[in-house]
Amino acid sequence: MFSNSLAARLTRRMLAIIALGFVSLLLILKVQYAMERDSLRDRALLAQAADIAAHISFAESGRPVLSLPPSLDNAYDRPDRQYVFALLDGAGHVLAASHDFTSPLAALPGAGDDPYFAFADLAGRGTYYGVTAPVPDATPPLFLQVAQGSIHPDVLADSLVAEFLEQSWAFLLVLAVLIVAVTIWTVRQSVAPLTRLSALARGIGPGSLDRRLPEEELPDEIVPLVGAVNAALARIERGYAREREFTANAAHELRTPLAVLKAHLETLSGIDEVSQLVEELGGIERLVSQLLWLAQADALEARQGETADLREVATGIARLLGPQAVGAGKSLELTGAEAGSLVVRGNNDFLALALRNLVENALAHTPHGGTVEIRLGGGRIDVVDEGPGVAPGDARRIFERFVRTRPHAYGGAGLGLSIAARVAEVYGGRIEVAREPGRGAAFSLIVPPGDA
Amino acid sequence: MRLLAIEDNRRLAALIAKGCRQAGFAVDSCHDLESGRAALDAVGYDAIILDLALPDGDGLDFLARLRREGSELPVLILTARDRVEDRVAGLDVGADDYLLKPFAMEELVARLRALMRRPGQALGVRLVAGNVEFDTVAREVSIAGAPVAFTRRETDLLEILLRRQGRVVPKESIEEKLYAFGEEVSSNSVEVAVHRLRKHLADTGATVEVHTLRGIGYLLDEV
Repeated sequence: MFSNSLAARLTRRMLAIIALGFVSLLLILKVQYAMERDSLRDRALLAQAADIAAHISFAESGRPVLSLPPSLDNAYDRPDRQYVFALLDGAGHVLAASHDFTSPLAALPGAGDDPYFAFADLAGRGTYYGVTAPVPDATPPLFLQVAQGSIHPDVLADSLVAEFLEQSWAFLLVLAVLIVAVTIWTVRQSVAPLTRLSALARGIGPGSLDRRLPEEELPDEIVPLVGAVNAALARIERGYAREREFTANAAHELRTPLAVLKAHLETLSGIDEVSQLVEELGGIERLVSQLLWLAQADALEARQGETADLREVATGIARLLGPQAVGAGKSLELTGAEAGSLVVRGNNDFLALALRNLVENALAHTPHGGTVEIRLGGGRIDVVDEGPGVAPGDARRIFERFVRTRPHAYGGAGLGLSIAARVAEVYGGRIEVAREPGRGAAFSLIVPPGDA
Repeated sequence: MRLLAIEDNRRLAALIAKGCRQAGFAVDSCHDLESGRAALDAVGYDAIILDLALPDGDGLDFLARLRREGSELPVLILTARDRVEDRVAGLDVGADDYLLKPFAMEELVARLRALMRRPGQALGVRLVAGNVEFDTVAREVSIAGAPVAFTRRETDLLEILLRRQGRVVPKESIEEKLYAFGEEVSSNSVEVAVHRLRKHLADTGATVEVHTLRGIGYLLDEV
């Protein structure tokens, strides 16, 4: 109901405006009626006075005689005293009156005074409004006072509105339903292209960067936005392709000569210096791999909703690097894998790359005969080595590129930890370094849990 | 066994040819896809070593066409590309193995042997590591040339480890292969079997060692 969608917002506002207009209309109707009512009443009173005056005749003595026809007589004789009148002479004495009035309804107005008056009825029937009108062609002058009891004017206006609503509610209800339906339909129709666009845009990922959003049949307001999105997609696609091409070419150009060199050196085996050269070559191989990985990690972007399983990652890397550890006279162990899957944000292959670099770093710093433990649990992977540990002052610096705390002691180029840190960062995680009591350093790969 | 190596770097191609010949294979070298295709049409090869970045095209396209034509020839891709998606693409198209440059010649030869040993291929009845030899047909073990009697379970375990020599064999996969379906397996039966094999190998002077990587698996390697 209170969703933040454009359609919901538009619908809510349009319906609010329509409701406001409707209420305003009723209010105007009511005020208008109240104003009209006063002048209507005034005219009605004068007409009543004229009606009565028409039935005044004069006796020979000049005394005025009032003889009302039965219809009028009845009207002015009702026990509820809704209509009253009094006939006065020029001195203000009552000559005739309805309901046995013996005193004037109001004092006679002087010349130029307002002929209209009001008085409260003692019987509690509300306020009476009246007028004092001179009887035409009477000498000496005579005056007729006509008054009318009234319900409170606001109540009358309200009842008029209520009556209006009562008579027309069915029509109004149909109208309201129609207005709401048309409003919702109109809004839906207007935002439908946006909904379609969002669905298309959701389907675009790093694997489908060649797709574009259609600009045809869109409202003019949205076309520039879609154009901008398409231009951005084109830039990303070009950048992605360039990066891919670069790492592929760089890999080929760097690795093929290394392969030649390595194969050549192997044919010379048996010469003492050769094994040392092969070792040196191993260092270059490793540097090339790390540079290429770093380029890939730099271009890496998290995909929406992608999840990885840290257990699978840890198992895979443990099996991959096991032989390397054994070959170097060290050991590798994996603990906590029995506990089951550990689903996090990210991509299995890239998290494996991060972990691989942490484990290789740990193996490099672990003395011959020592063991590196890959420990799974608590939503993270810890890599515990048996090396000298990380000095507190170096804890931040070691993640910078090409930084080695003990230059050349371990043969690394100082890229492994930055690759791991970069991958973790892409998926909203981090690498933590701590001291493992009684052993060495513990590097932890921490990635937020996946949604799946 | 005759191999076709398609590799545009002539020196590398020559070194591959030399290494393979020393291992007992006959090798023809081509430097582009066109001559590779011509050689393939003319000669019946047992396996192909295929580089991916070639002057007249991509090795993956060549491989895809080969597979479309119904060829089941074992193909080992030799490449400098190690992007995650490259590897998946290579195996999707129908490569049998994938080796990253630069590689050790020993590794290339071992992988080629493994490829030609796959079902449908004749090669590879003898598995060798250090001074240990295992005849997969006769199921006989010999150490330093002398036959040694192993129990059936020890023999099976040795074969599993020898087939994946230098690589980690997960404990679960040993359990699966060593014990028949439904057979009672206690949690440490693999450990016990490995312990016995290890002792037996040491007692008979074998130059191989079975390493235990806790939580990961087992690994047989030359000492």
